[in-house]
Amino acid sequence: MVYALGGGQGHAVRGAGVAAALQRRGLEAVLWISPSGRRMAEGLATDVPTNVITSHDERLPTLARQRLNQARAIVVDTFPEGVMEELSATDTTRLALLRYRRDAASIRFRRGLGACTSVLDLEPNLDWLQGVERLAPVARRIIQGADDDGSVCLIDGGDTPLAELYDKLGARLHALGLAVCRRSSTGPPLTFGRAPRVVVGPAGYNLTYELAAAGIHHLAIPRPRPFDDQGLRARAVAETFARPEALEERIVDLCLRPVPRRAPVVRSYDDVAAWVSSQL
Amino acid sequence: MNRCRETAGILFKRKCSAEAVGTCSQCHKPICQTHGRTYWQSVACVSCLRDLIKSQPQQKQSQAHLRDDPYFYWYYVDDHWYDEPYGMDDYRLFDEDGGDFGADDYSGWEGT
Repeated sequence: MVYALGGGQGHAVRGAGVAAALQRRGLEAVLWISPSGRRMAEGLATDVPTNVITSHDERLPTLARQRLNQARAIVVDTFPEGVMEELSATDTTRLALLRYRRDAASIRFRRGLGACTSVLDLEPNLDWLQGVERLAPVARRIIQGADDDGSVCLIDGGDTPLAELYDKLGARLHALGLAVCRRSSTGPPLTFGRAPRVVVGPAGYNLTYELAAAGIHHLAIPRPRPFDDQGLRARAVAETFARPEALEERIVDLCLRPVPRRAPVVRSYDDVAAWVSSQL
Repeated sequence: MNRCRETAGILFKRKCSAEAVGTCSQCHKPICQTHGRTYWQSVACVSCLRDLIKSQPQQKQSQAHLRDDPYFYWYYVDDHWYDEPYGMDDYRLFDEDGGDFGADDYSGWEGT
């Protein structure tokens, strides 16, 4: 059982990535996701059966008791305690795959962590969690071709202030003669035939490490999240800016004088599936 | 020897470290070969000529030789290029403390 409940689509992307990789290893996986992540998960893991549950559904603890106990193991993304702490009611082997959480010192998180059989840190580069196994950030491959096409891609996550900034920024870049495209991270899974040279976007886990793995320059505009800290991640992995003019200048600079990107090592979901298999 | 004090670039302001070869006839700052332009019988810096064209659009005719100058491209093609393009909401997106909210709130799951 791959438990990827949570509000954003990031959980669904990681859950689907892990579930599909487990299937490839011959293990049977069922994916638990929120309605917001359904489209994304179904686009990434077409052969994996899904169980769509609202994260704050009052029936969740009952469902968890009934169904999760039947699983050989629960692979849980980000919330080792469960989004309603409902995983405390199960005694099934629990393997946690964790990205950064700003409440890592909380009793709630620590209690969930303590109940896990094994824990794998998927963001050890942020040095936020001690005493657990460390892998590296993981990401799927989003680029099909080899060279970049010299363009600028502006990605929003259905975020109105960001979309309004992009209206102005995009018009100015276009006036300068740069090729500009707009994409949303809430649509179907992000893929590119040829890589853009520069991506401007938030600094969620998946986008950040997908771009790092592809060697695409990531100019980040961190967005506020209750459990994640996009600012921390952006400062560590991507590039951040104090004002829009500085962002604009860096975009033009990279388009006129391309330089290769230096990025951290990023692993694949097959590596995560191999770790999960080794724990069973 | 004096260094050039002009900061105007084709797109963005930058410090210039080139050696000055003269002074601007309008603002009297030292300017280098790259940042000096003929202005009637004298020489003026890029910034002063840009201000002139912006404040007195009729000067575009008398300074028509600047039309093909990359430093003046946007002043001839798009008068609005150097207007303030971004508003308060845009600047707020770049605030350092914009990311720390609801840290202890478990009720809102959107965008976890």
